[in-house]
Amino acid sequence: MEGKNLAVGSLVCGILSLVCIFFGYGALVGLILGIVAIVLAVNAKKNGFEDGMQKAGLILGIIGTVLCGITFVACALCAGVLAAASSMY
Amino acid sequence: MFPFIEIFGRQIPVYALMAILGAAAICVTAVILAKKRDCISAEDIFYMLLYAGIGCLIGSKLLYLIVSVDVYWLDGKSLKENLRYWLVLLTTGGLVFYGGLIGAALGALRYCTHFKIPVGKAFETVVPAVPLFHFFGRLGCFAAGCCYGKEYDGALSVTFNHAIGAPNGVPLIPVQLFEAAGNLLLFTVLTVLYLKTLPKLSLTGLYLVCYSVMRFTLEFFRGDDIRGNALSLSVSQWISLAVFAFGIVLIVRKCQKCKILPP
Repeated sequence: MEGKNLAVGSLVCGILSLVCIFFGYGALVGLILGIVAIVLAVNAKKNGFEDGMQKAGLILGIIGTVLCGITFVACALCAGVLAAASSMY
Repeated sequence: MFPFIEIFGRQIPVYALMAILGAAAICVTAVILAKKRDCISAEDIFYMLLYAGIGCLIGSKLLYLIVSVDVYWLDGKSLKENLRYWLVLLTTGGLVFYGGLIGAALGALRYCTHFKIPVGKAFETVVPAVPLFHFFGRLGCFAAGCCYGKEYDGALSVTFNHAIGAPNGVPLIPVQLFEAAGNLLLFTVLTVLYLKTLPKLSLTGLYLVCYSVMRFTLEFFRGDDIRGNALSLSVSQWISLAVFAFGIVLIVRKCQKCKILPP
């Protein structure tokens, strides 16, 4: 039963992480939700619960993390980005 | 070179795409390596890599924030304005590889200890694929024009025209490509050693030693001074020294375990 609850949580977080992609800085929340979805899905599997819901949660979590991560990840563009950010304020 | 590409009307950073490509490459390679030796399940390796990926993202961002801490407070601005500024930095700033490496190791360690997976075997299986991820990462750096080399006008020099970080129109040492080539070489060597099943050799230790030496050397050719320096060495060089020492410890411990060296 615990595994099923984890899988449900994973699926919900996975879906929400995908929704967050469309909300600018919400991608940061989406990234966190995607990570939570992955962790819950792995824990569900390790608790012996493996069905479509667990797999969907895992896959949506990975997609959500990757897509939200694109907006979050940039290389060490320290000089350029920091200077640009400083000039905004 | 080309920091962004346009997909469906949205500008996507090439660095992020290369990081995703690298993550896919490390997953596929590590799973194949796990199946070759059959000492740990491919599923566990995949899940461990997911945990490592999460740790990598958090660690690399955290170290970036730590080394750039001196620019985090805008004098004369309110707390609200500073909070907005931090959000911009958090979502648009850079990543530091060593932070990612440490974070990934901690993430993988967390998975292994939580689900009782043999740590040594799991790490030995994944480590040969790590330089492959880094190889793609450095190609992403080159595309974005960050982590650039010092000014140098000679053979093999490159001149960026659309770089975000590097100075445009100035010939530079292509240090990102050197590191990418070094990582590819390291990946080849570690994979061959892994496939030859040398149980008396610590591949993790070997990787840490080889990479730290390479990174320490290449840091002298880096031109992006804003990454942080202390006592005439960059932060990455100090971390390289610590990583080198840790790698040596791992190698010696493995040799002692296999009775090659006395305890």
